[in-house]
Amino acid sequence: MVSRRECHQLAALARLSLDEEEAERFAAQLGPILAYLEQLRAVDTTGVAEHLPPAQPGSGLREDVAGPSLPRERALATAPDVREHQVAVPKFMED
Amino acid sequence: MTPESIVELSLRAIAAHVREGSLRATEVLGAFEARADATEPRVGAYLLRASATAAEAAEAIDRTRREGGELGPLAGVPIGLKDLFVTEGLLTRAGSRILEGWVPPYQGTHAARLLRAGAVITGKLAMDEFAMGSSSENTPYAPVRNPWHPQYVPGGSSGGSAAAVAAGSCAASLGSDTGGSVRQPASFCGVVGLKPSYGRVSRHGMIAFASSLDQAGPLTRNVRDAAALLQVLAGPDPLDATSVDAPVPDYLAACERGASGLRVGVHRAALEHEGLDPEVAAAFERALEVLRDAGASLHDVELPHAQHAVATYYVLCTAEAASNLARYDGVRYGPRAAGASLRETYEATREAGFSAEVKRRILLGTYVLRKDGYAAYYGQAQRVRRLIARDYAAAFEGCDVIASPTAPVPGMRLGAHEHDPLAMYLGDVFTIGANLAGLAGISVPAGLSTPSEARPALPIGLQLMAPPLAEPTLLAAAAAHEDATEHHRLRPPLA
Repeated sequence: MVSRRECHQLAALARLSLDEEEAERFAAQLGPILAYLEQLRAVDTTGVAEHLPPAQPGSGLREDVAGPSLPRERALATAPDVREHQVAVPKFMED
Repeated sequence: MTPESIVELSLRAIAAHVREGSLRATEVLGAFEARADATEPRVGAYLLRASATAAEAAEAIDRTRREGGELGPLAGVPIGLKDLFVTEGLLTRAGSRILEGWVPPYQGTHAARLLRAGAVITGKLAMDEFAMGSSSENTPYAPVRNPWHPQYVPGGSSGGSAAAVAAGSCAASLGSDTGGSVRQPASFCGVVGLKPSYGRVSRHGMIAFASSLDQAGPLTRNVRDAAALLQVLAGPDPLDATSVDAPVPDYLAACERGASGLRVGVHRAALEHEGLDPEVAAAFERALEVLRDAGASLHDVELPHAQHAVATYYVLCTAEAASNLARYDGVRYGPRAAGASLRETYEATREAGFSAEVKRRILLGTYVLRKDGYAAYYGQAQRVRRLIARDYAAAFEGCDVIASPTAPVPGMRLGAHEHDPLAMYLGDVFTIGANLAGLAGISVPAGLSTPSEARPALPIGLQLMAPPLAEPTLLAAAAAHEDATEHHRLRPPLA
């Protein structure tokens, strides 16, 4: 079971702010889903490593060669607040 | 040629006509646009119709031909893209309010390769927000209607992509498949949906849901059209480190191989699934008969961990989604909601921008990734994932493809699982394994349910799966089934 308080804690970690009605609904829905996921605990995985995608020859690392990239104006064109060619956000440090 | 007959042409036939000059690209586009004008008010497959840019692209192709220039393998073929494919200069929202107004400054690999091949992009297709869902109802926009019946969902999350192809409002489309999101809507709408092996098609420019599972794939009206699209999309991409650097075989040639000598595996225990509709089970047995008559042999296979696939998937995909969606914070793109501090800005932006299913999955993903949940949930799911992948590898030692129904039911009414997300998740039981193990999978039409008072005639899909990079075998099997049946020729009432 997941309490409303726990829902709010999860939301805070995920930078979501739930209202009380949402927290109540999600708490009620997450309980049965987590109960279903519990079945994984019963699977014997002794000596089994966590899944990793198979290594792929030729992919992954490549030469670091400078190439064309987005001009600054276009890269910033979709940001909601731009000042002096930089993305602007509300103040987050004290002076 | 009449607009009605143009809409029925295969992708290769359209491109051949356009190259030879027996049809103009503008004429082809006009036929599909007229169909979209007629069907869209009732289907709603498109979030955005790009009629103006499509017309310009078609005119450019006709000009190239007049001037004697080279035309690609998809010359003049009208193709719709699920809204999570990044298209330079064309609104891209992944079906979410959090990307409202985002016009990408760069081109994704899928759009780039399609355009280079001569395709005409008709617009952006509706979907479950961030591809999270199986019905296309998880959306802040209008839900898509199944062209077979307006009270039924088209499946999801690529519901718009499947409905548009079924309705004939584009010649083919692209969807994304994280747990079945190409194959299941293909099944519900009576079209072909192909999920290539993990890494076969680039993920660059496909807005991420769960990066270790996501794969782009075509939705088409027949198997050879899917092969023609894969031919253009497949291959390594320097912009995606997980794209596989393996040669791209001739997929169209593979479609002509036939099923003689093909070994088809069947996991009988999965058919004991209590939610399996009897009509789906019967259609599946008929499809096996078709394959056997075409020269294939049937073999029982064991997948001992298959019953844990849905649980494994929902731990991993929510964990990856919680991480991937952390980037939507109102700082660099999308609308920003006002907050007094940076943190309040993040929270207000995300609260307003995400709808319920996305929040639910972010919360679940956060739960399984927390220090307290990691070992029991995320770490354990990664171990079970390895066991599931091993099961498939062992099963494929005794067969070339594994056959199953695509979805346990022929369709779902709108609103059927509105308050019960777990019931919706359990519907992914047959498709999820291919994503967890990185396999290739395809859903092909396998008939219609019998209309009754309880339910209209709805399409049923046959799923085939093959080992990583065995798309040629998969397409050979699917084409052999298609060549022996007429199911793919059926057209929905709303088309």
